[in-house]
Amino acid sequence: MVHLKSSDARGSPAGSGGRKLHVVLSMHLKDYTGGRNEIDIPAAESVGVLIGDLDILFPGISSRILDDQGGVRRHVNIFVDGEEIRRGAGIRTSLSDALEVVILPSVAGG
Amino acid sequence: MAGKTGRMAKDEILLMVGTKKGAFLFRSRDGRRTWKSQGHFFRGKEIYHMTYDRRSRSLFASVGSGQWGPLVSVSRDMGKTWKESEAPPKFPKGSRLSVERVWHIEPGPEEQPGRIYLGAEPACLFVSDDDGNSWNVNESIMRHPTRPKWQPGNGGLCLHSILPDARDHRRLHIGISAVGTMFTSDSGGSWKFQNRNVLADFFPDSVKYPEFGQCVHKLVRSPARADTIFQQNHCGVFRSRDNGSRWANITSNLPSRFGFPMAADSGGKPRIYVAPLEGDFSRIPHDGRFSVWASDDEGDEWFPLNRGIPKVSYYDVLREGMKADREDPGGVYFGTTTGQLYHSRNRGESWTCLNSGLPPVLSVEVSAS
Repeated sequence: MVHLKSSDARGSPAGSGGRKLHVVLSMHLKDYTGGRNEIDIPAAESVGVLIGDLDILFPGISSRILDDQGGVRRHVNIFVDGEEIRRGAGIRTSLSDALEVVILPSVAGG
Repeated sequence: MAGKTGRMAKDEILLMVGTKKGAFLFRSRDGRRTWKSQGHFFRGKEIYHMTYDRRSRSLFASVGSGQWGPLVSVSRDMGKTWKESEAPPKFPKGSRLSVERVWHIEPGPEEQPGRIYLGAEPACLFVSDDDGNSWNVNESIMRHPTRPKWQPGNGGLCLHSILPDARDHRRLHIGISAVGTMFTSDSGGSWKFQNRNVLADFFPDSVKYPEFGQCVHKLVRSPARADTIFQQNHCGVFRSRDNGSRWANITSNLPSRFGFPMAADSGGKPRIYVAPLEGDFSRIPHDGRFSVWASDDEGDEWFPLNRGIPKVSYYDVLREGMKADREDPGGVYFGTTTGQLYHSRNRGESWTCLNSGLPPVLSVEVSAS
């Protein structure tokens, strides 16, 4: 069970009792998420699996985050507990101990 | 009001304007005298082309969403609602290619309902056979043996022109910058270059007329004579009267050889239109005044058309930014990189500014109901 949350409802995961991951999404993706930018989702084993799970919830969203070869788009940044995943294992970054994943565009402009 | 209707009315003319910050429709039901605007769609996103498919009464948009990549969106209700392709244009895994931008969208022939062509960057053709819901890459172009030698133009390695042939649906021309013109006669199973006599003098003297590498900016087929194709190229304006096999330079008395858009109306003797710029060194119009130049004899002689365009008009019109309709007399439309939208109801003899405050215009397309 997935709980969609508004930005002020962050915190206590609820539902089936499994470990939850807090995911923060850029508001640029609101067309896919019905306007939500934070969700709690059952923990996934890696960033790649998480993005697949997100695409089931929000069809089409993975094509915005990943390029055709499955890599993270050049100007998209994914942070796992504050660490940008390109500094680690990229899309294979483990989420086994993660609490929060943040997906944002890189800064563009002035 | 036409702008609130979900279908095109009889005798309606639809103008589709893609900008750097979204899209707009302009609709006329009184012979192009007055226009109702509709939009703004895709706020903040780059719209490289829009088109209307009369077969399915659908609108298509090539959308760039900045950091989030390109997509194709379809509206079945004249822009009231839009839906992304469920299977967007993508290169297959292992190809090492990823779609960076989507450019020209072209409805397929009458005998192939549901077929839509799409040009992408890096240069490739995508084909949909379900009205844009899903897209498949053309493998022959993707795996073309010369692809490793293809070089991008200033606008990227983009497939920007797609010319179906109403006489034979298996035949198709495409234009790629800076590769040149390619042609298939077997529905995309194989492709050959068609660049004979097309200048590419940005190469050394010994290879000014290469097999490929030409910087074609826009391809247009004559509505009156299907074997006649025109191209605005980086190095001049060219004409082929044998369906692309050989080309002749028709730059003639144009003020320069350089420009981007090209259009042809459908009069009994079609008038062709270009928009010359000083050159690639400046990309501004001559003497700071924008002029459309036209020819009534397939490019043997050209004349300027600028009545109604300000004397100071440092406009630039991009490759997808000027189109002609199929009305009589022909209508012509162009949108500038500084946000002006002009139209003419009399084959460019005089121009009227339809809107002067749009975002920079990337594309203009026109269709009748």
